[in-house]
Amino acid sequence: MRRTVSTLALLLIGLMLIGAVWQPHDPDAIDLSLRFAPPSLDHWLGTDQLGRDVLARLMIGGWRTVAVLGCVAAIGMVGGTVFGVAAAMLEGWRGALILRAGEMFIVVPTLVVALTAAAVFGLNPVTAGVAMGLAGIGPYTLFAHALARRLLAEPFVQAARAMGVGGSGLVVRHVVPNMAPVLFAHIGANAGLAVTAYAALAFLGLGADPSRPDWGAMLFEYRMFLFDHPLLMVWPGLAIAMVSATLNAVFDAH
Amino acid sequence: MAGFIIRRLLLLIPILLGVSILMFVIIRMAPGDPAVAYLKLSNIPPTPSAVAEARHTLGLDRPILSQYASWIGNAVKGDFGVSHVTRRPVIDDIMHFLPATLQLAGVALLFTLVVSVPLGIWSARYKDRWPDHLVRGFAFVGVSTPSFWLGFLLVLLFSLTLKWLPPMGKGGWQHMIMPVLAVSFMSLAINARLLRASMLETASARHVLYARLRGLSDRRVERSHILRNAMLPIVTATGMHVGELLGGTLVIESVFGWPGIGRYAVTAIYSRDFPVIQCFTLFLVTIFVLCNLVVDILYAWLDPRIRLNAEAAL
Repeated sequence: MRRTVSTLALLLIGLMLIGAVWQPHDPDAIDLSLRFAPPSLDHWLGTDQLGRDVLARLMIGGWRTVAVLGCVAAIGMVGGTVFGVAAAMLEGWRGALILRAGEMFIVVPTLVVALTAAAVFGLNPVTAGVAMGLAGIGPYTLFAHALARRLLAEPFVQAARAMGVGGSGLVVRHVVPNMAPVLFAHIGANAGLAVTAYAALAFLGLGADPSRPDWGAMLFEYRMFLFDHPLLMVWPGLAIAMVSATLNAVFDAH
Repeated sequence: MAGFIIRRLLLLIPILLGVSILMFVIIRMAPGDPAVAYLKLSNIPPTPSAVAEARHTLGLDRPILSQYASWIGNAVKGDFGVSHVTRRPVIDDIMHFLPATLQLAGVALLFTLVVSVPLGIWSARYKDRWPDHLVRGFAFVGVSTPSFWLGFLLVLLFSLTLKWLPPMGKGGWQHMIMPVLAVSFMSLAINARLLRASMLETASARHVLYARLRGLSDRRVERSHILRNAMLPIVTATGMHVGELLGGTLVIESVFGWPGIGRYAVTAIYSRDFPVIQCFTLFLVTIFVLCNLVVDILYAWLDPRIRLNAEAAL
């Protein structure tokens, strides 16, 4: 079971990464003689209302989803580590201030903020990823703070401190390397939600830009053909659900 | 207890200030002149004089701090400005669209609780047998499926293929079924999984062993000794779900053409109707914080240990 999940995860991630450099067809090539073609050997998942290859568009969308996840994870890792460790090291009012600010961020409605940011700066994986990452930084700070506090009380850190390792050495050598894997698993457990959130964003947001095939935007674009060509609505949704499910399964086991 | 509630309500003030500043900054960072956007919405050609006039009416010619100060001054009095699109006070618009959303979110919350609790109990009772596998599989699918896609699948099945339910709009109870299903699916799955875990954990506690040793029936032990204790995490989760359901209506209302504040807010974001976005965000934050407060109060009421600790601390 564990092996199957890992294999499936690697396969999916591989496909999504390949999408960055190679697709079976040009995702934007319009061929009106091939409108709404059913799945075939040439077009594995069929074509859409302009005769564009659905698989090629899905692969670009996959690559864009990876970019969003990268931004969210990077901001969560860096922001959570920096603020969490700072709050744990700085006793007194400065530490408390960071924690109170982190708690404040928990109640920020992420989707609304990200949607507004998308409306203001235009929707692309980086703006969406940055907005979602920043909006989610509060909970990660609190989590990282709890981790860092526990590590600072560990005997091996205490021993290092007794040997005269200074504050920054302690953080860089002992605290951060030990908390990073746990924090990463914690962020990964929320990555599935980030995938669906970005899909919702692209669906609601500026789904009108057809040269940027995000999975959510594809659902927005193809929703008119729900009745006549329901398969067009199935593929992008299935992609979102599968990636999100795989991420959940991989990180749930930790 | 009163002191606890008042302190928590006071905490709402810095949170709302922080969030409103955040939104204010994002909105003011928008490329392009908001005055031009405003004129476009009103179908006035953006001639230099019209732009200057709009800048003045919108207060954009003043420094950003003074803009924020006057916005906050009005907001305290309950005046959140006028929607650039509908030309009506934002608060009136929100109150106009709110009932439909509350109806949807309320039924969804009820549905979540009514379905997830029996599912969780069932799953825990038959741990590692087929009902458990079924519920866990369902929960796994539930947390991974985007709500709006599920909405389309439901429309495909119930409206287009079976022709049982109307695909969109608001009317009789038939109109509510699919939006409620779609928006509550995820919280339902989370709740069922949580209750299962919590019940299994409680089941290994010593007081449960003691109850069994006293010869109480399995059902009696489950009801009075496991479930009552295992419900606490569900209370917390439900508090979070209120916020998620309200946020989820943003997408679901757009899918099903449900005339609530979610769809209103999305339209506002599309047309960059900033007073509306600002007010809607603060509204969501307030609801979220209030829900958490209610959860904490409920918690103290349900769990005497917390109540006594809190009273000792006061």
